[in-house]
Amino acid sequence: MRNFDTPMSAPGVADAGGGSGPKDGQLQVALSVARVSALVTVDATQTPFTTTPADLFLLAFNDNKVGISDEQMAFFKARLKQLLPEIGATIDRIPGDASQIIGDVGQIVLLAEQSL
Amino acid sequence: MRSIHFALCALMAAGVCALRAQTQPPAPAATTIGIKTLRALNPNGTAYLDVIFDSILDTKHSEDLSHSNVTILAKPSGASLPPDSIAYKSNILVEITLLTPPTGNDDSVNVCFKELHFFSKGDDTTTHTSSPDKPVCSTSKMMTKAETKALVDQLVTAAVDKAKADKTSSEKNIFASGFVTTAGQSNSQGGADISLNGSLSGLPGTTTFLQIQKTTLNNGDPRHFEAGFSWRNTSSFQRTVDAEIKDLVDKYNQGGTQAQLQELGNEINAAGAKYGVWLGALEDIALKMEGDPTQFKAANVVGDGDIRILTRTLKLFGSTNGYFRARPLVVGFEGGKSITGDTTTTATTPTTTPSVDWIARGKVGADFTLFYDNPKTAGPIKRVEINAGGVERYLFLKEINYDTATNQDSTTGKGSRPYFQSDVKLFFYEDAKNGRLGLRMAYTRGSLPPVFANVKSFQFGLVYETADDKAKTANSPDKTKTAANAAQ
Repeated sequence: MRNFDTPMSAPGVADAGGGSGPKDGQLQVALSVARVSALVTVDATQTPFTTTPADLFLLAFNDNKVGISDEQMAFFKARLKQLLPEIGATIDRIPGDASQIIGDVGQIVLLAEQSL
Repeated sequence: MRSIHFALCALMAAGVCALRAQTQPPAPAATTIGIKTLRALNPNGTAYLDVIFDSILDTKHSEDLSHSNVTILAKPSGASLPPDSIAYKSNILVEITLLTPPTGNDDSVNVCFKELHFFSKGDDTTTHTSSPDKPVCSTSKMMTKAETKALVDQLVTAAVDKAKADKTSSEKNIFASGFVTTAGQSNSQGGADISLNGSLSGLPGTTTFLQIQKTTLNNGDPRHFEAGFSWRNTSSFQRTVDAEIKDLVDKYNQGGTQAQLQELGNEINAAGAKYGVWLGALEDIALKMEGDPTQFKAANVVGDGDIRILTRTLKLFGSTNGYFRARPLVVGFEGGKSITGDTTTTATTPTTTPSVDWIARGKVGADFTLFYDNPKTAGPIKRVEINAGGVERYLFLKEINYDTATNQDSTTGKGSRPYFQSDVKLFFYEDAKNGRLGLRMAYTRGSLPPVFANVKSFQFGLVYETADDKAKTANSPDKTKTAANAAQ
């Protein structure tokens, strides 16, 4: 999906219609975190989407602003796999360790999607 | 008792004064931004440059992604590579696509942003601007699809290896005053409360585990050891909402006009607001060996199955200064066989370990975690961490029990065997630089398999946590909960 933030004056301006290129999976990661923790909200009306807390992707799952436990990680992974079934095997291998940085999991998802 | 209270208050006051007396000025908030990771890949003729920043970008400044602000060079030739598109994928990730990837001897790309608008760490209200004299740059080797897949495997393996690290109590905080109990003991004691978990490769949902709870304390030693492997299944509640959001996200990814995407975004937001308190259920089946870690004269092989339901992590009274989560154990059953060999009475061992046969237990229970943190509050308590849990086991058949009269595993019993464990930390001083100081109280009562030695202990003392152990502090509730797992 092309992004609307690319300036109109630049070559290769973003199209307003049609999707192209692989998914990045970042919205799905944020939504999966929000599924597990009510401390996290996602606003999908913005481009790019915004999160509360704003630094979500810099935090660990078990950061006190997110509050996800090791056991709840199983639900995060299950939800992410439901949203991104094409990389389900990779998601299964992500450990259920809540001390991981959310952005690091986002990077794994991004690269897995781009290498399909 | 009054003298103990006075001593603890005096110690705490001295500790707070010492922490506040440190004269080093607070370090200024970081006002620089850098590229944490640059990945350059060419999986199928279109090259993607994934730029991950170490600070949050202010995505309102779209000029940061203009072609005049971004320079992409092929290396080593230095040839300019015009981008096809440059887009924010999140507030730390920018994706650049190149229709013409590097060719020939050029195997790397260099990306530079002349100027970037960003928020400093911990402050998402003030926009900072990077210096135009210091472009934000990074270089990365181009990867093929196969190399990218290999990198994914490496990243996953690294995450798995990191997760295997032992999370023992000693890593989490400095327990300044050691163990003090009310069980009539005036000397400090020692103990171990260890929980290890590892995944079995190739078997999704399967983990190995080892738990030990052992102390030298009379009336405070649970004499609990168990090791084995378990298989877990998760069942999400509110599946209709899950399916609705998935459908909307799939449509969102197909693209559309800005108005269409905004409408889809509104629908995704509205669907997400439907989620309630409950997250889902965990169904666990385990096969384990449990024993008295003193001498393992009493040991059982047990199959264990239970169902527990989890809440989402919920705001504490609607505030983002804390959270609450609970995990009731709805039903569980443990069944197995004793593998203890009958011991013969001798002149030096007048008691025997009774011979028992089958094991059959039912169990229910619950545990919860509560966290509150507001260093700026005017009240005396800046931070609260509570982990508590309990389990009620009912033994349908006679099992070996620990006899406090003989200090041996020499009696049998059946019926109700409850167990409760709690860990409370109250912090009265908290500083982002110097750490936090407070009190820790741990209370344990009841008994655990295999020998159901009655425990009644109260630990009370000072605790100091350094400022840079946020991750460890966040782990602390999980560790204590894991100790409560031993009860379940």
